[in-house]
Amino acid sequence: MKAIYYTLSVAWKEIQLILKDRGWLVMLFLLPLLIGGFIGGMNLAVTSSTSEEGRQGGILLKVGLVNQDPGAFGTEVSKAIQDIDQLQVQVFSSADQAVERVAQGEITSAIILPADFSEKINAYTPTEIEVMVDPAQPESASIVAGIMNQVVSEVGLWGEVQYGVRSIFEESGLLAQASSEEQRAIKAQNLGVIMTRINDMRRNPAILVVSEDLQGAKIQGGIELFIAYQFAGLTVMFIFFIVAMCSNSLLGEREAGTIRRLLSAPVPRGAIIAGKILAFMLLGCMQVVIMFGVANLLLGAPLGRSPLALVVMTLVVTFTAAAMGMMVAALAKSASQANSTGLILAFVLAGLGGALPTGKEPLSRAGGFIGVISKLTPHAHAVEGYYRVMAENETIIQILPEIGILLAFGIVFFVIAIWRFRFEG
Amino acid sequence: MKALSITLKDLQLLVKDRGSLFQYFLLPLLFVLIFSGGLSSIGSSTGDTRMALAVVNLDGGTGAQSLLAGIDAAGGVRTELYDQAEAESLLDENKLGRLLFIPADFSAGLSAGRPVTLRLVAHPDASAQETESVMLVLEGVANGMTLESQILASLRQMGDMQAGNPDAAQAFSTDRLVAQASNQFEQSRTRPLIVVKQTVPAQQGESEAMPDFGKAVLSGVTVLFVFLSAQTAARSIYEEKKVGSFRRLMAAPLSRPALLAGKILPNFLTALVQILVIFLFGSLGLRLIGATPVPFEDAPLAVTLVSIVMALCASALGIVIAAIARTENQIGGMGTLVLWGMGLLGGCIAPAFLLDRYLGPLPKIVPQYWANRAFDDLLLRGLGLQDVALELAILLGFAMLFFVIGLWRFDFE
Repeated sequence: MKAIYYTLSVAWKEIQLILKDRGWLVMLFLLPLLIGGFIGGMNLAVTSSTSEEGRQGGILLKVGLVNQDPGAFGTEVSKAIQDIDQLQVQVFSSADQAVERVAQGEITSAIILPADFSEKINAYTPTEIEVMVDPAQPESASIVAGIMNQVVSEVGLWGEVQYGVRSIFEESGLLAQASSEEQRAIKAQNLGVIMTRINDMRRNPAILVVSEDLQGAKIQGGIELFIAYQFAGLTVMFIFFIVAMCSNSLLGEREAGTIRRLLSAPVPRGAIIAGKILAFMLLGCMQVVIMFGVANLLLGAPLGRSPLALVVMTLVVTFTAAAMGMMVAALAKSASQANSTGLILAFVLAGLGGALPTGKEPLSRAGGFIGVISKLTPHAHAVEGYYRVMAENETIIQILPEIGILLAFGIVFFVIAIWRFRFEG
Repeated sequence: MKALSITLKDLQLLVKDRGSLFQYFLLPLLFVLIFSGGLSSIGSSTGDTRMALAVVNLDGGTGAQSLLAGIDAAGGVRTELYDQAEAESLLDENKLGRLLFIPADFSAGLSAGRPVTLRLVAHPDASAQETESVMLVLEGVANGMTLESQILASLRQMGDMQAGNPDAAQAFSTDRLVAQASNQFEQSRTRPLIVVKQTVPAQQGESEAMPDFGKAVLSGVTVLFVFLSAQTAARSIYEEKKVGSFRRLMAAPLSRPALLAGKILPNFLTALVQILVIFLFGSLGLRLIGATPVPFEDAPLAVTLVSIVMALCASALGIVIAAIARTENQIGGMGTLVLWGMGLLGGCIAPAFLLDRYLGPLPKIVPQYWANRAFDDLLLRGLGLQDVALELAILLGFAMLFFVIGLWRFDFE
């Protein structure tokens, strides 16, 4: 009973010290929120402006348009591009002018329609639309590519239908026999057919692909899942910043002589270690609550269907981080060395473990050499566990392997800490 | 001379501080590796890593065969055929993540120009990310496939319009139309009528190239970490005040500006070495791991000048932080938040067009924005010194402003 009392007393003292350290509080709470909120918010904004539902999202990219083609196809493509809500289109009379603006970074891309664009389509000869992209903004390239492919698919269909009709008329000799008035009528009919087809293609795609669950309900899209991954990664990364703080605290106390005073109190050695681990676990749990709360309430990230799995994951991850802090304290020679080692570990392991969200899914799923390296870090299993619960609706039973591996990491760290830590500095 | 002695002493202290050395030199390289995708490309597998997609083909016609061949050829997904009852049972048991149903009238519907629906049914526990990737592949293949049916439907419509002309009946016979549509479709697969080609502006005689994420990441990371070093400068100044050595230095015949200049000089020099290390990594390290190296040799003078002015600006910002913060904790907390906030706002991580779209002119109030612009112009757009004159002037203005504010607000006592 006394051991529990001492443990809680040490933990309470530690929490009071932590709450006074504004620098660390900012690092642990505000910095991940700032980074997560900024990147998540930006991604959400882009998705909402490019999605079907968010057509009113407003201008996303400034582009230049150069139509060197005097024909109908050039006019049609130009009109289609200028009608796209996400583009602020500036028309240039020469390609050089537009390219110069791209080179200066003033517009994200220049869309250049060649002079023989219509001529080549009319002759059923392949032609190219050049899209010159600002190399400093490679992200804009995929957006422009998506938009242009949509525009081109309709004009391409026009060219194909026109050629098909013409081929049949020419082969049968019908066109040659027709009077000029009949030829005009045939051309008008051809255009009518094309417009009907394009409108029909827009309204009723010939092949509709739908994704649904077992009950036939529509499955939700991907941005919320990316935000779930992003916040899971950042939360894990910043939980492991506890390593530096925890080891620094333990060695700082030893250097200041307060551990000796505690031991003479007499507070048991185990209670000192357990109390500190408890305090830092609590700190980690608060990080998780705040980060996931913001991700869910403000950015719409899913939290999965198993609160129990989230709670157990959080307890295990925070224990592993605190135990790692104790191990670093046991192996370091001074508080400042422990502090710098803890920070280095926090960043390096976060990078290798995929806690710094760069792709769409955790790095440990990348496969190959880096996938294997990634799985050697506790971070990878922590991110994987959270992601599977939040984004893939897995339960505690399904993430037991991740929980087990993390717990094993934590126990190994803890045993090394107990074995190597010298209370008398 | 005495200011230089302060610099030398601070540099010696810095060399002994492993944490700061890590933040100055190794952390930025780690960020470049991660954000450029270089890390994921190291030793990645070259085998067939395509995702398996279970398919129940209730159609069996040529349309369904084309669809399956298209999915397999699209990359990323490979199809595996299942019997309907078996597949549904495996899906219920979560032994299959997702299942594609090709309806019985798929080929007939396509030929007749009737809309058809492909259903992709996913188990609730399947990776939604993977489901989304499969959907993208299916939609792409479906779009390509509809070209043939669209051409055929159009030709039929045209044939109907010629119904009054007896000569046209033979010309627009079903066989002829199907052959024409099929022929055009086959041609379009190998030789599309319109191609969208992406290029970047040619630099120094270089021919076409594609936009590259690795290159774009490097300048942002450099700017972010050079400005983060302002915190180290602030901490060093604070330490000096805390131990009282500042007061002793005040007794020396040194003006206050000279004293502060001496304090920021070590950070300035370290920041320059930091930039050199990151750029060398960008030029040589990225090449070693197979990523595209960043060309620094195009405008060496301009790159050097921007680096010097940026390092000066970051060091002067350190004085402002040291002058405003009252405790070491404030330097740690406020410094971290302000510097990361400025970095994010200045476009060190998010692309410029997004900042422009969502934040308007706001990013322009931080020096990181101008430093990023200058490096982007020089390293990615291949521009020269005259093109970054404005950015250089503004960065210099920021440096002077920070120095003056620092001098005004700094409590030397």
